[in-house]
Amino acid sequence: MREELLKVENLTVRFGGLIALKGVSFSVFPGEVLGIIGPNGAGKTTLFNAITGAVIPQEGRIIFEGKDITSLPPHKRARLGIGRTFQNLRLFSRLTVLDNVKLPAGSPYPAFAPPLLLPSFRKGEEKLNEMALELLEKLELKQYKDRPAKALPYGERKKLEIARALALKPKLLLLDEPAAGLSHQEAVSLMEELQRLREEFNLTIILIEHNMRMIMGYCERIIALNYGEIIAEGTPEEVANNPAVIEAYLGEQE
Amino acid sequence: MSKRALIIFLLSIPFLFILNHFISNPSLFSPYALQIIVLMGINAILAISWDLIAGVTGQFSIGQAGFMAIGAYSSAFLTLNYHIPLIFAILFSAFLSLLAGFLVGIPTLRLRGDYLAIATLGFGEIVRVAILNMNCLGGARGMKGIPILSSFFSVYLVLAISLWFCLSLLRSQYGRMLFSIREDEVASQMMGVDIVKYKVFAFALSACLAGIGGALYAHWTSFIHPDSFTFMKSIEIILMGVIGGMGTIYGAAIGGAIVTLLPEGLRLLLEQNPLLYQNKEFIRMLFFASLLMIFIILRPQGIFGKKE
Repeated sequence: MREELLKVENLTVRFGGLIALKGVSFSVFPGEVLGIIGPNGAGKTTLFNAITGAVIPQEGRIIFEGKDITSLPPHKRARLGIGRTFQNLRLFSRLTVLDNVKLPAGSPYPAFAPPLLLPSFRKGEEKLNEMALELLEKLELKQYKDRPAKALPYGERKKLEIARALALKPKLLLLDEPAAGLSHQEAVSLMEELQRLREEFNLTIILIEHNMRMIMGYCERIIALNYGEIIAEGTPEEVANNPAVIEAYLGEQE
Repeated sequence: MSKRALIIFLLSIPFLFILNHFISNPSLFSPYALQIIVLMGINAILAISWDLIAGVTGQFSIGQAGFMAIGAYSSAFLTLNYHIPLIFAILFSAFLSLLAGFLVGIPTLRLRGDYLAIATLGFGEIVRVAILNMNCLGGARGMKGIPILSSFFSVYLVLAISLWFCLSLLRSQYGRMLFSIREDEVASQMMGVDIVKYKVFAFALSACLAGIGGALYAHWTSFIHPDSFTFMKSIEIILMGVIGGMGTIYGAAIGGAIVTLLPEGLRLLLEQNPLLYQNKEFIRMLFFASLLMIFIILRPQGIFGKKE
């Protein structure tokens, strides 16, 4: 049995009287691509928020690489290697594309280094530049590097979010509807690119996606959520043919 | 920062030193002109201090006058009673206001938007009222006879150093972190930025600079009174930052100079009409308020800010 990278145990998140997640448990293994599907309001994004620390669960534990991270603040989880993208794009819109990608790397020099022009500042910035340009090159965004992030077309902004998340050097990458809002062609090429990046960076991915065709072809295992509960888990075929999933998406059979 | 920026910065020091001789010469510049020029420099430092926390980091603080008062009173107390040189008085007030920045920043920076504004406003008033009731600091009589130790040279040297410090910080990974907090706090956290730590860092630096500005102010005007550090002073500092362009630092510095200079032009105009001159305080307020509104409506990014 392989050691799991992420283990979620009995996770419950309540917003006042609303139960967003109810006793959700699952594991993700290194190198895997796990898909999460479910109708609107099923708790998919809440699950991501709980894993990254944006919301605090009322019950349950989150274990990353054997370490309990349930009470860690978000920035520490990010540093452990959990990167994410957002459903509604949360880029630093007035910063340049290059700066967006440099930011997540953290600071290689102390705060007094820049005003004193210490060599550690110059070397650190060179390294950051190199790293960021390499990522932009891989995602074909290099030509935009000096533009503010908000000036990019929608599809490119989605790619920039992925580049930014990769700058954290994540072990686990959480992608919240990466293909939403893209044309079919754009979505296919994005998925191919993700496949390439995944091999190159040795990534483990959890993917939320509405586009069933996309998720079926790309994920090895799928979890279906509805009303905050896991209603099905298995290979794409198993989940797609699961009566509970069909019911959740299409309604009860007459 | 580039090599060229460093050369400009280093050359500005002897340049300021030489310029000091001309500007401080009463036969060339009237005391009135010198007064305005020095106040322009002090206000530029204050505007930079506000821009660092509000323009760059996006935390709308309106307690700048409180930190300025801490710097002004602590340094004046030292030079009046112990006759120490200006540089040590400035260092002491910088340390004290930095400390105050930390103490105020740690609890208040957990608040957002309006709440942070109210909390910092409250802090500014607390400082003012506390000083008003402290006899060792002159209380309601104010502090007078402070030795005039600030000069054109010292004020503009401090301004040059502040500009250098803030601009180089802004162009580093630390500047990116502060900007990212302004842009999107949630995303910033998810990208590994400890937002509480860096908000407090920016707030304390901002408080420290405001304190230094206050110390220079006290040793220039030679008389300070709690009324010099009211809520209106904080608003004036905000006006400088907004007009200059939030988040640019150098814009704030120029905004500080402009907002100091404009009322003087206004005064010249008013002096020609006795009726208007009688109501000069009223007109001054009206003028500032309209200026702020005009900028917010027509050019919210300020003179030097980039267009949205």
